[in-house]
Amino acid sequence: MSSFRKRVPSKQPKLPPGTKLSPHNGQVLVSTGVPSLDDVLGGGLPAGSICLVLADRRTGYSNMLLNYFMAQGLAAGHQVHLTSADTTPQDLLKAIPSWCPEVAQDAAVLEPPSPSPTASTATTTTPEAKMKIAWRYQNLPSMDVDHDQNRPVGPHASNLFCHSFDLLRPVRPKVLESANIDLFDLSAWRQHDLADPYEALFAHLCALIEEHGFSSLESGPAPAERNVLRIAIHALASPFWQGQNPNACVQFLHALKGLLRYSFSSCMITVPAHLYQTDGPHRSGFIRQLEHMCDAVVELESFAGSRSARPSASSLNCHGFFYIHKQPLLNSLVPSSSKLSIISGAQLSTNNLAFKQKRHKFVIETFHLPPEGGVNERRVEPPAAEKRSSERARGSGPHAASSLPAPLLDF
Amino acid sequence: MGYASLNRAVDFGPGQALPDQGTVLLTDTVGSDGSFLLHYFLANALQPLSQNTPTDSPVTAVGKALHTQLRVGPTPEARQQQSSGDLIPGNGYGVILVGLAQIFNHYLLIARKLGLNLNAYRDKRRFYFVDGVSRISPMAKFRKLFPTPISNQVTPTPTAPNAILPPIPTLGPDTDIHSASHTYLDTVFELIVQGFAGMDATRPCLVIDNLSVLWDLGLSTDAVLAFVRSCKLWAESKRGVVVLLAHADRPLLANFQAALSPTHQPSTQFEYFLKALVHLTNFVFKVEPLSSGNSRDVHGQVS
Repeated sequence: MSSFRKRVPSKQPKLPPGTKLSPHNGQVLVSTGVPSLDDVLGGGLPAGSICLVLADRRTGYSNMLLNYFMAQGLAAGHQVHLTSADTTPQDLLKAIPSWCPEVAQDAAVLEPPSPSPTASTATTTTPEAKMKIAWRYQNLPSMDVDHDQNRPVGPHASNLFCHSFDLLRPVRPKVLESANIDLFDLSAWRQHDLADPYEALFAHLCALIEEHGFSSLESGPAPAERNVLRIAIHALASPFWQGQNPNACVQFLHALKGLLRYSFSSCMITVPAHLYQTDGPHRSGFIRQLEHMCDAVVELESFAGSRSARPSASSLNCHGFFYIHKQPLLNSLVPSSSKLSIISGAQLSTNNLAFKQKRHKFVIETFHLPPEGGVNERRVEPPAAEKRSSERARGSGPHAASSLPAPLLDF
Repeated sequence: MGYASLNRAVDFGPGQALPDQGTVLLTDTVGSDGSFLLHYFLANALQPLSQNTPTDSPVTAVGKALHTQLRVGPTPEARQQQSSGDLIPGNGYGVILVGLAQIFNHYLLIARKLGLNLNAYRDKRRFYFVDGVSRISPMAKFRKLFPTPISNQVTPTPTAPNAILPPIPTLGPDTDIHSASHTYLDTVFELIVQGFAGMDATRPCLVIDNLSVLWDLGLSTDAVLAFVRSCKLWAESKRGVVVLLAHADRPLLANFQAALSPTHQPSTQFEYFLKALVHLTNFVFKVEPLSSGNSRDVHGQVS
């Protein structure tokens, strides 16, 4: 039974380009651009949902996620909307990574998902790197088979669900010119001091969605001809968003949820959560309110910007911890990643993830220490905590694999 | 219907899956979603009467067809336990679901997976859905397209809500938040009462998902509490049940509002709000992550 939204009554709906149906519950999924993040979220971001990224301190990894999100939109031909109050959106756009358009796509489409990963290694570097994502977990031997079967980067119909990107090469200006990009510069808007920034943005998004046929409430063209709108909001609720009303941000998110639920769009928002952090390890209530309003909440905590002293962190081969606080739960009670996720599924515990920025790409993987730990305290502390947490998770009921606040491994 | 183990743990009386009357408060956190309990109560309130209904009615047949299709699909979480077969016949509730957190589609599909066809119940005037997502935020005034309530539709869509909550008036700095929120919530209450008046049941079961949204959207604490109180009194006068869901994360309970908002009033604090709720309700279910580790469990506390 497809839980595809009501506007598509036909049995086998054709999907807009760059989307796929979730094998778990039949939702329309949109890729975030990072295959490992897609995997952790249960295949991708459901259409109509809001993903909140709690940004890291002092480092720009959350911007990278946002860039990936937009780049994937550009690659799939989606319309992209970008809002920022901190900098001009044009500057943010320049950092979008480029993708390997034709070669990778052709290679992936022409070749059936072959059991042997080396077979699909084409002449370009990108398919190779893409395979690396899939095969970097080959040290978990039992996962290999699963991995090939539902690899999130597989081609879907005639278009790729998730392209592969190269962080070293920014997207070409020509591509940006031809793409469907809608920018909303709140820093300029502020100078007119017309209205609340949240209201202004919401009015803009309403017009965008309703006038460009993204809304599912009006009978538009067939879903296959529809496009998908990606809304990227950079640094929501940063000090540059000066609303008159303290509740404006929450009202904005609630209204946005109501808007997106009836539309072909998904949204990724970064929030500088550390600005609202009070003393102690717990986030402030304001951020918690925002988390309740959104569908998925992930958090990046980079080692470089972490407040806790981590002298040996640089020698670990990743750049920070990745937490999932909330999984997208549209139309279901159990997050689909509990069934489908490969990365977290191996450990039955979602909160031992780390992210890593390699030269060409951004990866989320299960956190483990290098076998040869150097200093004593580093070798002892984290593995013990990890083992404990995964054991607990194994002993619990059917809801065990879903998200949780950070178990404070790091304090 | 429902969770068998929970039925045993929560003893509301012989054969009762719901408290005879009273108010139930469910609290949850970001890490542990409490909405499964909401669906538990929803299912329990709707299910008993359905066992009395003739099985050859077309509506039930449709519902059954849907269920069978569902079982084929990958829905391992579908719980088809018929655990509460000994429920007292005839104590059917008219369920009013106020969805402030999700649209109707969400509840409809989950209920389907739980073996419950909300649309069939709605056709039997046993279920009434109030949409609190589409319009309620003051910013929704910028939208032009809204879902239409099912009564206004020529060809009813199955996922249309019965009613839509009107937008909260924009609370400017010079408006009186208290009186504005009181007036607003009075209209909401009227809507609920009217909705129940059109239903084919004697006992209301009012489910609100979730109460924190009202508070988050800037309505005054007093007004929300007064709203809850009037709902409670109204439901209890008809031997009904009120089920409320509210968030109770620890950071929310901290005294953060004082630091954040310049127009801070002592009564807007969430902790006060939640404590007052706990005081108002008869049963409190706390859903929280296990403090010990990466898992979660349910703590049912009957107080």
